Amino acid sequence: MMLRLVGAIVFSLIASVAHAESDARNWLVRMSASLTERNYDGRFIHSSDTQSETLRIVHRNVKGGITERLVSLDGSGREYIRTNTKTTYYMPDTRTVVVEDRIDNDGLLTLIPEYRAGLENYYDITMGQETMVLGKRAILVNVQPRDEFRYGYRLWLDMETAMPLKSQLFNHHGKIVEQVAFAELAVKDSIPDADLQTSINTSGYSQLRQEARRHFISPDSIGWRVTNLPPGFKLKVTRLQSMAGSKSPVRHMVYSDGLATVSVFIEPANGKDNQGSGLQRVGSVFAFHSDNSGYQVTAVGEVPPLTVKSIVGSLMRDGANGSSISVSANASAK
Amino acid sequence: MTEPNENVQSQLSAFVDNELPQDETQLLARRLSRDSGLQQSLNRYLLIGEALRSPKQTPVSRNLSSRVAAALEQYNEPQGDTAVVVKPFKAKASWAKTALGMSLAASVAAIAMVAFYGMQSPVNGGADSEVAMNDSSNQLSSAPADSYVVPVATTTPSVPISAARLTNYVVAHSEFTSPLGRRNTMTGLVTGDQQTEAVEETVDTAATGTGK
Repeated sequence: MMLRLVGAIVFSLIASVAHAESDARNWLVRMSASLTERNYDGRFIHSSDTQSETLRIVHRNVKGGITERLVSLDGSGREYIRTNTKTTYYMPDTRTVVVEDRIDNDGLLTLIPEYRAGLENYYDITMGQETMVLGKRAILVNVQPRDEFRYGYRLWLDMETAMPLKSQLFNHHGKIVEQVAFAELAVKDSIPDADLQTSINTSGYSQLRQEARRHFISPDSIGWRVTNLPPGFKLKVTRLQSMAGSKSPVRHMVYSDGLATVSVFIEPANGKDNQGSGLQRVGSVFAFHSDNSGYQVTAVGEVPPLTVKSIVGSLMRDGANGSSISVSANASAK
Repeated sequence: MTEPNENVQSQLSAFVDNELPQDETQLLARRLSRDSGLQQSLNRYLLIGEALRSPKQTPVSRNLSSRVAAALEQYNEPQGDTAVVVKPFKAKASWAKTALGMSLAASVAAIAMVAFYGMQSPVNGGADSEVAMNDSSNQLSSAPADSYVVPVATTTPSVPISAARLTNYVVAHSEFTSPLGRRNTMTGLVTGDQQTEAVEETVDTAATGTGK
């Protein structure tokens, strides 16, 4: 009898923990859906160790057709506008507009993030307390990394819309790497076209266009592999793509643990640029590059430096396949 | 290596603009001869300057590199084997004050070079062959040959990826991040919150095992 009682209590506790994790994961799913599917217009403050800046984001979804505009309000005034098929950069500081055609492969991209149950092997995902943010009821969701190969998140989600009103990115030791806090956020039924158009008068600007040249290829054809991946990271995408400044097609491999992603770019070293190895940073993204068998290999991701260095350090070339790549269009990766 | 503080960056910018007083120029030159971080900042200016060069802009000037070489020559202290090649770049340097951390702009410039040099994407083959690519970096490197070699302190080899290439990588990577990650990634580019020179590792490197 006593044994049954203890068993029932243990089962109840396990079920309770699992339910809480499931709840928290569901909030993450809702958040990602909201960020993609809702129409919203907001101003937020982006803060890091080195600077703080105000930006405006306008996001519209019309039957899956996404348009997003991100504007620096108190910096250079740069803007980027992204649609399913095109990305446009407005650079008032260089009087230049760059248009990059994109391949509409959002169906494939829904692979990431992947809020599967196994995510808890690498992150401790828990619900925090309810609080008020921007005058709205918000729920705190903690995504605590279990090791040093990934960052964690604190997310204050609007309990009505699941939009992240405030988010913090932090490392394994709890140090905040980056914070985004909305000062205004309006979720709307619709967004007028005018709000998604640049306010920059581009008269006299140089207009440049970069065509999309990307082909998904099979992992076996990429000719490279990472032999000692950080725990939880799996190969998700392999492709070849054109890139300005690169003589040959750039091999692009994408690894993900379901939440964090790391891209590996491989291209022949040109002997004049990109020599040696080194670590660099763009916002919360770290990049580590190194020479490898006459190639320049670079790992890029919103992960700690240790992760990109580990991946680059265990990247191996398959001699048999490395010199010849067969390309099959639209052959998606695993 | 340390990140130059704001005052030093202002000095660097003024130096690039040829607006720095002579006495401060000498001080800056001394710093340049000793501070690899500052050298990399200068290289970044040079790189972006080269990248931003366009037919509409002022022709390349050799004055800056001459001034760097001349100033550093006054502080010809014994140094290691590592060298930084300071190449000529354009004199119109109003960009310099805003260029710090502007890898996005540099990315634009890299694409610009492709367009300006008439190498825009002749694609050979389609799905069954590799894509014929452009090499604007070769165009960049085909600048006039009269460059200057400046001896600098020996440091661990750590050459940054060009700002343009790094930006291209980050943009390509952003397509495969979560919606939240994409917003954060693009925010980093738009705000210019970045260090395109090599950065110090800030993590506890004791954990080196990668396990499976």
